[in-house]
Amino acid sequence: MRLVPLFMAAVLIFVTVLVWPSADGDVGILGWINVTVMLVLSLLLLRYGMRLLRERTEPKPGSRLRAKLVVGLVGLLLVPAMVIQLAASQMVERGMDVWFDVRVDTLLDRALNLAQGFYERLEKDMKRSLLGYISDGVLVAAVGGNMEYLATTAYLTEIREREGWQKAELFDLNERQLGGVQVGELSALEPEPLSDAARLSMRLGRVATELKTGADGEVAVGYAPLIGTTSVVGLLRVEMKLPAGVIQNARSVESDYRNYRQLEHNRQAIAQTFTHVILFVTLAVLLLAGLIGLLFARRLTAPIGDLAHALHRVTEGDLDVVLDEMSQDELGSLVRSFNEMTSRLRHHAGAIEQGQQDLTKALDKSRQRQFVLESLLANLHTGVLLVDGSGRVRLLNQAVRDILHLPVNWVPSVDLLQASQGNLQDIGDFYNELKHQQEEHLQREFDISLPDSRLVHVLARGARLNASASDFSGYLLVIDDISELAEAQRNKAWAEVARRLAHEIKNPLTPIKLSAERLQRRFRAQVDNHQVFDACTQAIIAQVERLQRLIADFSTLARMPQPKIRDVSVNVLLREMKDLFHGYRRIEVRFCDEQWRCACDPDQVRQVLINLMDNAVSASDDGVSIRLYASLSDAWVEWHVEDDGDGIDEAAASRLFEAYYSTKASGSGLGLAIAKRIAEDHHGELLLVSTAAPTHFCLRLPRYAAEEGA
Amino acid sequence: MYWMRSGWVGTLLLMAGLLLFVRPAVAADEAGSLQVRADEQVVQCTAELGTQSKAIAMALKDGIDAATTWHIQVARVREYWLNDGIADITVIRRVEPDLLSRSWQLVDDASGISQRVYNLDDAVRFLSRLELFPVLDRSLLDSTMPYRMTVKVEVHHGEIKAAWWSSIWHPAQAIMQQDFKLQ
Repeated sequence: MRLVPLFMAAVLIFVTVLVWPSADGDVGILGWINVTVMLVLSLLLLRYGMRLLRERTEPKPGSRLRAKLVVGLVGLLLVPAMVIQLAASQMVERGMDVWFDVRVDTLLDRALNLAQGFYERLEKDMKRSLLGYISDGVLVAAVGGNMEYLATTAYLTEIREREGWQKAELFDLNERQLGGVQVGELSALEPEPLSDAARLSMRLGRVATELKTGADGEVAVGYAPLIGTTSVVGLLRVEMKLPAGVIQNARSVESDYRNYRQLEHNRQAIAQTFTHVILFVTLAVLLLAGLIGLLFARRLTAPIGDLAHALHRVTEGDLDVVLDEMSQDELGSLVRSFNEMTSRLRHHAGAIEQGQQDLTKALDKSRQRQFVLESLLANLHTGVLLVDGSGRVRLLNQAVRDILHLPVNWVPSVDLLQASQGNLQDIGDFYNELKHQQEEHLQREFDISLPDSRLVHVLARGARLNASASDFSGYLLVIDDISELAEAQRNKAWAEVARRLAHEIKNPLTPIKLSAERLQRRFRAQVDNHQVFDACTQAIIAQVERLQRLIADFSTLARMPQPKIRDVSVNVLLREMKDLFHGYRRIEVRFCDEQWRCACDPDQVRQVLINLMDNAVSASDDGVSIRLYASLSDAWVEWHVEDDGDGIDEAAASRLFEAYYSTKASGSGLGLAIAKRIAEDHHGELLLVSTAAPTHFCLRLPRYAAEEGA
Repeated sequence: MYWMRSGWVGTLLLMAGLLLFVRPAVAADEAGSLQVRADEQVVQCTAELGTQSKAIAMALKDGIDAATTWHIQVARVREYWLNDGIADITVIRRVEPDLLSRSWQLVDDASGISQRVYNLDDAVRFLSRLELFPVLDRSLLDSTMPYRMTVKVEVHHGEIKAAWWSSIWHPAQAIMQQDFKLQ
């Protein structure tokens, strides 16, 4: 279908080439008008066809249909028009053959020959008559100078009447009229001058004739030179009026012959003119038909175009489009149906939009609640696990990961019982117990060993979620790390023990010791076995002193004073340690920059460092090197104590900072507990960095004092 | 509607190009000769039609009136602009045949002189040849400048019917040109 305009353009161009006016043709401007119109039409069709071929996008609604209608209508007219054109051309050709039939040609030739023969005969007769007067003695004598006017005139009258001429005149060599006679009256006083033919006749001495057309018809004029003895001496000019009826017929024949020949001569041009006239009419009809078709198609396709445009707008989401109902025909019904459809669509779209808005609001609220819940869970220090009815974890927050050091496979949808293996077995057991018990709630405390060998004491609380409240049913597990709380409770208990011991035991120890010393002084001389006596009393005194030191440590732990924070040089503390332990060659103290400062209580820090150094010295053999050095970061100052001794076993390491735990036989087990307490009072920490090779402790304190109330 | 406007503009441009192309095609059938001759006072031309002479002879023999219109133009040749027209002369010559007397009446419309001849060749020569026709005074031309004489000949068979466009468009059957320079 897209090639139809191009095909029509090709046909039109072909016809244009066929009817292109030739250079010698006499078709006039009509041919060029036709050619121009056809060229314009073919160019328009060509352009439209090319545009159709190149067109990629959707055309304007209705335009394609309109073009098809116009092309169809013009094409419908084009075929019969071309047939008529061909038939007319053939008819003209046939007509030409009939008009210019050879019989007509011959007839006209014969008629003309007849007319020409009449003229020839007339001229011949006149010439024959004139030949008789060339040497006429009267006439020659008259022009020779011996003219007797009356006799000459009478002679001229005689020969005029004899020959049937209307006029006879006599001229001498000087073209002067000597005499003349004529029928009727003179029309002019002056004689008519001699023509070229007359002069030629006189000069050549030959009889000549010519035809003249006057006011009262055609006249045959004859010239006869009058020859004297030796030469031409004058000229006789005679006129004979041709018979009007014959002349009229002869001229009619000549005129018809001329017209016929002219027509024949223009035969080709006539045929071309006829063709171009018909072509012009055909083109005019086609143009008119195209114009009417265009108007009709526009009227017909305008509602369809509007409808297509409106549908396009509806497709793009514009449901407010309303078409005008202009007609009551099928198109009008279509428009009404369309308007009803858009109205219903508008109504439904409004309802959907309202529902969507409600859903969006609900979703926003849900998201807000979810956001709040997630924020809450994320910021909670309490671990939360939500388990569905099938035992799969639905939700877990970061706190539970941090508390239990959960492996990476603990993600939502993991099966809790399968994931609770190894050190997390207690979590699975707790869930299992909660799941199978009758009560709605369950609370348990248990220890979980972490991958870094630490034990974390957790408080687990579980609740069964009621399925009737929502579609979800499952279990909520809340896990708190209460290690510090337990330790604090333990420390508090120990402090209470220490306080009571100090109160109950410390007071009798002094009299016991004094009594033992008194016994030793006063009764040593009375006993017979001094060695046993001394050993017993010394044992009493030594154990009492040991008890006193133990009580003092307990007392210290119980009544740990608040640190008196001030700005202290880190290097000063290192130097004091160097001075204090200078007797031990295996101790290496590395000094640091003098500018390093720390906000701390120097007495308490010194006590911690002494404790750490003392532990290192006592826990390692001679020859084992011990190192003390400091390091500095943006926020922290660290004192490191390392020794290359045998190290600390895993079991001891986990309880090292507990009060009253000691690996030494004479130790109170309070040294590291007090050191850790001091570090925590400074908002720092005491760490066992490595248990062996080297055994490494680190005291980390903040460089700057914490803000009051922070 | 833009495409229609641009289409019409394009079509008009094409038609103008076609007309420019067609005019020389019509005039290409010249087969004539032109000679320019200048004596001490007058610039003359001798022009003769070629192939059209046969058609004229046939028409005259059949008793059809024939006429030739000679448009003689002299222009100064300019290299970068249109030539500067100096002279524009029109000569019309007619021949009216008389089949009964086998004679032909020669009429020069420019001078009004007429003559009857009894020889067809004389009549044909009268229509198809301008011999030493004085065109313009020599003093109007500059001896240093190049000039071009153009002779366009329209041949009419039958009576001359002047159309309304004949003053705009001359369907010349022969165009002859000759560049010349005064010695």
